[in-house]
Amino acid sequence: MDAQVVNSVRSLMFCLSTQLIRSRIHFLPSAGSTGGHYPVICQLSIFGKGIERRSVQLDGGRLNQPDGLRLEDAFPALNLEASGICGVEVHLSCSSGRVNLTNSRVVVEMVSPQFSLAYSATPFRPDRGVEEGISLAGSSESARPMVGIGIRDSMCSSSLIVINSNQDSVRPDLHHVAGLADAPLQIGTAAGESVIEFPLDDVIGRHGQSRETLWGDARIEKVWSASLAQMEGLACYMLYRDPVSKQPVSVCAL
Amino acid sequence: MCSGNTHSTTGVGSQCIDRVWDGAEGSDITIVLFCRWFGSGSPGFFDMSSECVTDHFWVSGPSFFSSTLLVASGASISDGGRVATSCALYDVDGVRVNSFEFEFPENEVGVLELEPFMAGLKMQGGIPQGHLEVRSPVGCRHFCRQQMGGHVDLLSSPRLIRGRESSFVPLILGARRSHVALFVNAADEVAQVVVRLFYGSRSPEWSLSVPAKGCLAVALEEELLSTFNDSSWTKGAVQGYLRISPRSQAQIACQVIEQIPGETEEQEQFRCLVSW
Repeated sequence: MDAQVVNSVRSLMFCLSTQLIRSRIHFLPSAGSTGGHYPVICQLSIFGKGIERRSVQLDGGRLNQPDGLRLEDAFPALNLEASGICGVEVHLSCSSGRVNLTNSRVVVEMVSPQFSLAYSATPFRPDRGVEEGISLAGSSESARPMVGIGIRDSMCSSSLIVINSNQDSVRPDLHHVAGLADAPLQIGTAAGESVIEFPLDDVIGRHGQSRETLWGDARIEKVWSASLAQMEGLACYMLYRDPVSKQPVSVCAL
Repeated sequence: MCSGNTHSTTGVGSQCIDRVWDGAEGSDITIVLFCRWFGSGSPGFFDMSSECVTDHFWVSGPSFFSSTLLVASGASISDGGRVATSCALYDVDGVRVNSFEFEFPENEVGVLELEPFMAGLKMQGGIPQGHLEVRSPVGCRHFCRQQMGGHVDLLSSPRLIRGRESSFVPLILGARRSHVALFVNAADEVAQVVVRLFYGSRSPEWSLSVPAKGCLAVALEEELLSTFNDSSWTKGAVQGYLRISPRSQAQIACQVIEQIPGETEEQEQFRCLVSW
């Protein structure tokens, strides 16, 4: 099958919203080795518990030109409405039918007086409704397995972030190792247009490998999904926090 | 197959095996450490089979840095089998200083602290550093735990940027911040990399050369921005974007370490950004 050009793509990510945490969304519309500066439209949406879904459209974007904005500038009421985790969806589109945007990237940055971190969002996927039959051969991330690592040690505690941008509830198909066998991770159901944080410390404490490392004792566990990549409107991340202050220290996409 | 017999996949013969280490206490890891293999022109360590996934990390050693490789297999590589991961460690000039392979049960996470393998790495900027090339069967993912002082980051593998592609790293410029950009050359030839920094209405550009299989650490403010006739970035915090564009057939991974000074050494913040 010939690879179909995908000039409309989406990615899901999350940010923490409090009075002290400021979030920035950075994006680089890219078509791999395709040069030029075609106009690219970026639509940014937020949703989550207590947050009515809303969107803004950012004009002026160009292929191969990085850009970004403060989330609070795009959604001034964000901090007034909610405190906690909110979901963010970035939709990039280009009017040129020859531009394949699946190599585009989004970086989320969260900054507070106590911490500063940045992470890469999950790879862009073709827009809803056009994914079937499309080859993602142009995307370097197309074959990446959905696997993450949970760590519990003196410097890290881990939790799983599940983002559901669909209208309907979803039960994510996630697994870990219990004993020597695979076991489903009992995280329940993610309501429509919601983001949940599932602490993994108990699971890692009970089932994780115990390791003596140069930085001290650690327990380590992997979490994976065989079917999540095929589910539209769903994304998972591992969030690592300082076990004492609970400040986020790092994020990795599954 | 890219894995399997630990002697069969490499350019070094079984006579080169130095020792076998059964891993740290509490682990079920077997490590085969090959003899040191000097010379960047030596036969390739990897056969680059299409059934493998290969990633490239910048790694660093004590006393301030500590790098640990973590490998996790996807859901269905094999039934209760073991995963074999091959590593080659190159110094800044691209000279291979160590090659090793380790195995771990497929249902566990492979954890390998890299410090014991770093003895041959050269220092650059007072830090022993190098390029870790790591290869595992398709379906695995590689992560690197980077500890910088009291700060820790878990990084997924940097995106490999090929010729005519570009990637970017967002960063904040300011008088009290500093950045070190780290470039890893995955290819067997010297890589020319165009680095362009976008901030405000300015976009200075530099051309850098990274040794084959080696790496290059560049202090952004001291070595690059100081050559550009503008100091507006020192006034306050300015949002910037580093765009990395390798030339011709080059394959580059990039990582940026951002240092935010605090009132005391303990309050200093670090964060690691990779080419995503």
